[in-house]
Amino acid sequence: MLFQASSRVLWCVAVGVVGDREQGEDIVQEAALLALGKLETFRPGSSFPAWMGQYVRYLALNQRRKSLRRQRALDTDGPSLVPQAPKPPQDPQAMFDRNVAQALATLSESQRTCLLLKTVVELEYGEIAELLEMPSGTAMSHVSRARAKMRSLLEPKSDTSPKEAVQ
Amino acid sequence: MNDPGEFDPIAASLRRQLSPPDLGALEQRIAEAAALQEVEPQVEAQIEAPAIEPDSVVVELDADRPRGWTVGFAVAFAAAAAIVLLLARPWEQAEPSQLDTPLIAKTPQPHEVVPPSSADRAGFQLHTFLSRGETLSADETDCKPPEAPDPMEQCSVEGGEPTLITGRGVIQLGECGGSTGTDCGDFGLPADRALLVSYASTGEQAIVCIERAWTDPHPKLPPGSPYNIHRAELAEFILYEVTRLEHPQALEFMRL
Repeated sequence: MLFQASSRVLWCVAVGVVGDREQGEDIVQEAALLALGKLETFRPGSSFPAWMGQYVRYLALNQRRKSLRRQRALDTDGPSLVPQAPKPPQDPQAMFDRNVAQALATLSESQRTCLLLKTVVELEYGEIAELLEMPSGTAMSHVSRARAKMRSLLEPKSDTSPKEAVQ
Repeated sequence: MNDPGEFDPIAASLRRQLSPPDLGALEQRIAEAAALQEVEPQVEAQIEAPAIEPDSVVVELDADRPRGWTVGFAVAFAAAAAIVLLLARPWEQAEPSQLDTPLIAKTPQPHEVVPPSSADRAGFQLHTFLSRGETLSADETDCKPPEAPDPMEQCSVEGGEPTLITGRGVIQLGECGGSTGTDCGDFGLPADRALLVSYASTGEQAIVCIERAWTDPHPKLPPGSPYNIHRAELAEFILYEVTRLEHPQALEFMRL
């Protein structure tokens, strides 16, 4: 159960950086194996999630860089947080979820990661700060800005996509 | 419960869509993969030299037992058990009231991200890049900012990324990393993102590296290098300018 608590956090960090939930699991797994080979660098008594979070972020950033490179080469849309549906969802909740996912994709990596850690796994700001190695105030600022941007994208025209709302 | 009321529908949607997957399966996959990763190296280690890890002491006590896969699996199981035990270490609860605590006070660097040798290597790479007059040449697929670009048309595609406001004493010659689609490592630069700039007054070139806290290589220039590293923070980003000048010139033109 405790392992799951750490994994949820690490998974959220990965998803926050790469913007793709499917890749999140692979990154956490790869990070775990990478960390296994570097166990000697872990200091007993320090935070294990923060230590392993470094590997998750490194791998996630590398993965995102590769994705961006591939995206530029193919000139296609960026990674999606939700599977691409063959047809636009008709259900209002599904439409709202799709818009939320699109709005989430417009956030910066730091904003998205902080928002997910705060909202999905409900970490305290101090925990986010320790995990991402940033001041608590910065973590709080990221979450606040992320929420504000999400609201601004979703509220005025909740029936349209965030991109349309921006334009 | 942590979200303002206005945000609740969005938070609920995020939780609905992004609830973590079945992590029990992930735990199993990690244990299996760890075992697979460990078996072959450990078997070879049994032949060449005694293993250093404490887990291997147990194996050595039974050195008369048949070696090979049996020993390998024992070691692999021990290694997998070790990582599962480490993963099971409880999350250390932080004080919610400790907001705005300086990073140094909060995390006294219990574990170094980059060993000193990496910092030296990074500094040497930066020194070499500048002293050789290398360029961040861009091919057809790269973003090529013009000499005096509109800041709104810079390479960065994500909001909130540091951008150089050029044309006021500093000219951007090239860029790598970030959203450019290039890897700074391909140019021999130890940076997540870097700008090659030129001072309008002298034509001297400098590098501005843009990192996050966890990607900062903390470069140390080699002894005798004519260059200096000037560091600054911009929001969550760590910027540093590598230049011959005693004071940074480009950093003051970096904006979000």
